[in-house]
Amino acid sequence: MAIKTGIFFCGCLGAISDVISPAVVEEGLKKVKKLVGDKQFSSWLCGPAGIKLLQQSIREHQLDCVLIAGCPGQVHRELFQDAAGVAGLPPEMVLRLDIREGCAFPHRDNPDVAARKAVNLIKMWNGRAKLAGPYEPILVPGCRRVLIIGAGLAGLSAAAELAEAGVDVFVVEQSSYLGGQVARLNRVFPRLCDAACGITYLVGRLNDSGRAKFFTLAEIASISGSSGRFSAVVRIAPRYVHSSCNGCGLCAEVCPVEAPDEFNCGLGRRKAIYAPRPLDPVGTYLVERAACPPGCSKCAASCPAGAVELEAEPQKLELQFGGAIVATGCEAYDVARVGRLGHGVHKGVITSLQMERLTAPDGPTGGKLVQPDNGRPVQRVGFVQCAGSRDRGHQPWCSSVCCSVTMKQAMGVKEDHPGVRVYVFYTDIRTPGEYEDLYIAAQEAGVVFLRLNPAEVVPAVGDEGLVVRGEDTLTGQVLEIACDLVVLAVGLTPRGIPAVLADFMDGQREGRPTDYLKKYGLVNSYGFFTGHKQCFPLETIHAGIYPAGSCQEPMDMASTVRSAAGAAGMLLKTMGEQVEVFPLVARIDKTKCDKCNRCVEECPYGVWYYDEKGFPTPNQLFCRSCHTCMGACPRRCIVPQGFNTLQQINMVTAKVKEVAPGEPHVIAFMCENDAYQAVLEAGRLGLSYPAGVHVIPVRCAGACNMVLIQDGLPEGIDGFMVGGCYPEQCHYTRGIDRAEERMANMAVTLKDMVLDPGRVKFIRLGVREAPKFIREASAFVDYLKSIGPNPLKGL
Amino acid sequence: MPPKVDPLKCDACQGESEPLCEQVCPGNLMTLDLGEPRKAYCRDAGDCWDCMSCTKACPRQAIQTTIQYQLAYFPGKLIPLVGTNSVTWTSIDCNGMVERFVIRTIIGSEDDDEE
Repeated sequence: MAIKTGIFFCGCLGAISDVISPAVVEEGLKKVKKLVGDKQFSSWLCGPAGIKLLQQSIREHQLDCVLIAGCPGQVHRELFQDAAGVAGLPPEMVLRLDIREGCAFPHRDNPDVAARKAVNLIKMWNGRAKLAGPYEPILVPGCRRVLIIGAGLAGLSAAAELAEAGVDVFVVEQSSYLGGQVARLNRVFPRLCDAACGITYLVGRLNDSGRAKFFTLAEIASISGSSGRFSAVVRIAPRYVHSSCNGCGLCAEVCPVEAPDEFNCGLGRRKAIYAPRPLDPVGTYLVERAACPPGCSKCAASCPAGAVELEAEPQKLELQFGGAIVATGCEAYDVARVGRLGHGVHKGVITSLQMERLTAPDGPTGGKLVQPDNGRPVQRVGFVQCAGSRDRGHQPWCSSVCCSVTMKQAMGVKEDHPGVRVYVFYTDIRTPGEYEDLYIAAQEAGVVFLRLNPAEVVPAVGDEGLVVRGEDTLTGQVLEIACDLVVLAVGLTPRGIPAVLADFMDGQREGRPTDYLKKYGLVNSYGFFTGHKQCFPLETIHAGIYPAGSCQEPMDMASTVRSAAGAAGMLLKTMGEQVEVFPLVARIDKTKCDKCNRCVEECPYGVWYYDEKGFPTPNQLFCRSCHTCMGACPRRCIVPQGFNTLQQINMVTAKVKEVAPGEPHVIAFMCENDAYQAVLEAGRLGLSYPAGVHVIPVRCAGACNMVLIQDGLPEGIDGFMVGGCYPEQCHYTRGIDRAEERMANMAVTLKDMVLDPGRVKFIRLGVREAPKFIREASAFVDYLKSIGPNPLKGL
Repeated sequence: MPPKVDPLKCDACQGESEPLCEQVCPGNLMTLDLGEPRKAYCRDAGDCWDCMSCTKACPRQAIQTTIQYQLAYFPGKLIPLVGTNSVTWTSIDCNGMVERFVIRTIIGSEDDDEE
């Protein structure tokens, strides 16, 4: 609460004072005395004399708040804040009022009106100043635990970053081994090093940190809570082999059942009891119980350590954690659905992932390139690009990595077996960025590129092998190419968010899912968990749950690690003993709250929880300070530091006068991110709009409480505008939609009251849409003129 | 006359178990129906004595009170708009005549520099 405000009016070396006469402003502010310590005019406040005047006045009158009416807030911000700081004022107590772009420039041709508007604005900002207070640091105990869903490259990378920063990580993995798809790869581009190396390194780092707990064969059974205080039940399927297993392998020798080896993508076979993957730190053999013949217990009988327990039950574990990372990744598209390519029909047709296993030293053939069906050496290899990708009937998107993968594999074949002929059948080669080097290197290595999307892959007549048939779209010829091995470069299919988590994030309202993820485009139509793409790709409905890796979009390894580091960074903001959070986070005055829950429902980030007495409370660690809750609160009890509803009410109810007789008095709340920028732009361009429009920048249009209109109408304000961004462009996901909905409701209320619903107007403005603002504001004021003044005026 | 809830405006206080109108009703008459989506309603019109607590409390102004027929016949309405320091009343009588009143609920607010 400022008790001594200093009002400084800057002439801006004529830019303001040539339009707005300081004498008129002084006259207009004559009666503004209460809680005002000093009123000064300076012809150039940011000049040396002006700064001196400012500091002198603060010291002399012991001001605790200064209101500078001059240039927009972002101009000379540090200069004024530092100058006031020297005189002992905290930076947030320097309030800035823009009367240059907001008043002098647009109303240049009508100085009287401009001066009266300047007086009005100063009075309004003076009302705000009375409730302004210095920021107190907000210290919140940080989180210490993170859940990571998926132990692929993204999950392990994020886990390693977090664990090394002193955070406990729980890594939940659906399959029996760590490393995900990367663990299956042979070599990785562009450096062509061994994929297993990176995973070994990550697992080693995690083990050394002592802060990671791995749960393999595990899935999330349920999740509850809110940002910063989540709780999940993890269901862990048994391995049926006790940790006393020493890996001798006797059990697998006696096991009568053989099954396709899914780690090797179906190439090769394994027993029902089988060895763990080399990088699995849990490390025992495991049993695929569903494959066991009834009554068989040969493995248990053969085990010298007695480690096989065929009757083990799944375990359930409850985990408490502050944040989570969804790193479920991608899987290869089931290309058998593209019938013409013959996968699953002809043994010689394999996917690029199978090709990785075929060439991997720990693969089913020990790294020898042979035909999977008969084991004969391969003489001709054909790579088919876009197998199921960029195809409306299958996966319409480009998986972005498959071309580079093919280059790597084709070069690998050429390098190890120079005599083998290698063809690439492509639609378009897409090797983005530096991967173009791979394309050139593959061409130089002698790989033959044919612009041909195969019509079909069929067995060769009278000969063993396959024939790829299709039209070369560059020459128009129909070609038939004989191959021993056809490798389909399959696209990536997102695994998506685990159903339990998706339901949790979608939210429930009265038992129905609200479908927020799809509605706000956080999960795209293909199922990728894209977040708020462009600006906040890590954003979700629940702050604290962030996507990482190729569940976001098809990614190469470098992007995956980057995205994991990004997600870890988002969480690191909230981790630690005591975290000093952003000063503008939501705060609630519980003495006024009647637990109506609107804040909880309208928060775009799900950061609210109920305290032990049932009051809604924001988790300030995760609050993004959009103040949508403040706009929702019917009791005005959400009072963040900075610019809160109570200050806005003081501004709206400030005793102001019409700028000209009969000129409608309009208050426009403009989102400071875009709509307000358009207003400033209009000022800079010298575009003129009706002077009765008094613009107040707010943090988000969603921060506008409708009580501002309920308070403003009886004060005689003729019209209200709320301006914000276009749908799906809101920085806070839902703020603008809330504002639109509230304004529509307010219009109906006005209609009920036999007032014209056109007195409230909601507009959408882009940052550079100054002309649109001029158009809309002028049309609004013209309409207000046509319907006459507010009938509540003067009551 | 009982309070009438505008189903287009009522949002069941965003899915809350006990909406604001239910919290303030001295006769415990307001509650949510079981429809889809749920809306508030007055479960016993005969017991309502027109105190208008719910009408004033509704943050979406979704509840209307029609004036008793002795005072004004059917189109008669009394609509409060509750601000921070004032309540704005709109009274519509049976002939559709509109009268408005602004009642200041806090006298001598901070900003009394003028006059």
